[in-house]
Amino acid sequence: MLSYAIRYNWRTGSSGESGMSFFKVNHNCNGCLACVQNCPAKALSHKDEGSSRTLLHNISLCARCGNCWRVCPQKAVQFEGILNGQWDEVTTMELVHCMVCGEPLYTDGFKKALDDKLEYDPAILCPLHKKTFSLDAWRHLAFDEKLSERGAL
Amino acid sequence: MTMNVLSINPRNCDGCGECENACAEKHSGGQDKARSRIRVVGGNGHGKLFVPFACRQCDNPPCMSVCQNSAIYKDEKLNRVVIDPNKCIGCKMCFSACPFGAIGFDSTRGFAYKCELCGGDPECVKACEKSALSYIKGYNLHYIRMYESANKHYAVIRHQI
Repeated sequence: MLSYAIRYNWRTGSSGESGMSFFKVNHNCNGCLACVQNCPAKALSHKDEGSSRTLLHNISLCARCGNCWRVCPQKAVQFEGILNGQWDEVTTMELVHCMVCGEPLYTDGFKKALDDKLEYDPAILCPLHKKTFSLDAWRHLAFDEKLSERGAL
Repeated sequence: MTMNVLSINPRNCDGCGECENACAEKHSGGQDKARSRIRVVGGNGHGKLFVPFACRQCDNPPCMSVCQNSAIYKDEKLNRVVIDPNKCIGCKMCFSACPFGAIGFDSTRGFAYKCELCGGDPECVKACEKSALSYIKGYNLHYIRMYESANKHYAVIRHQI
């Protein structure tokens, strides 16, 4: 493994428990804090606690200017992590599908909100199959010479 | 009961789709039928039965009661239900609540849309040559329905005799 998470511990070499880390340094980092001194957005910091020094980064302050990467004497900053960010999964929920075609409609939480506000159970159908339902009703209920003549029923 | 209603009579509809074209022309400027607020369903697999579907301007609209931002209101003057696009936040609650599937969703602009009767002068009615669509007074509709119902009843009796 070449890159370590931001909470790289210089003594133990273990990366932090934080799942999301945009700013990464590799094993060349020696904790000189040149990046902290040269960050124009003050997005880098550090803390010395007991026997260890931890480098800190705050992505919401980071201007993505790349100055840390430019000044680092050890070429330890892995700036690609900030430029080529990945998609983080925020939350995952159950889906409700159209009873006829299986098209995903909304989540179960959304359905609960709908049920709470409506006096009746809404049909779990996509817009097309809601219309098709009414169409079938027409077919079964409408006895009509004009429609029979056209072969519609 | 002086308000007009959009009356849809599937008996006269032959599925030509002119109402969809007129609606799309009026509301999206192009012939993009997917953006039409009236939709003709039928044909394929349903024989020759075609039913145009548009908003029914419900008395107690489910879309209005589920709207989370009070963007849907009832226009008593024209007896229609209107979505305020400036207030709509695009949560799709109305879209999912409508029992008739009459509400559409514009994903590029991020708001729901529905038939608003063109402000009292529906383009679809003007485009319909088969008079399947009409914009008439509610009390006239009442008599048309009675007449049709009586005819239907007569047809049933005649087959039994």
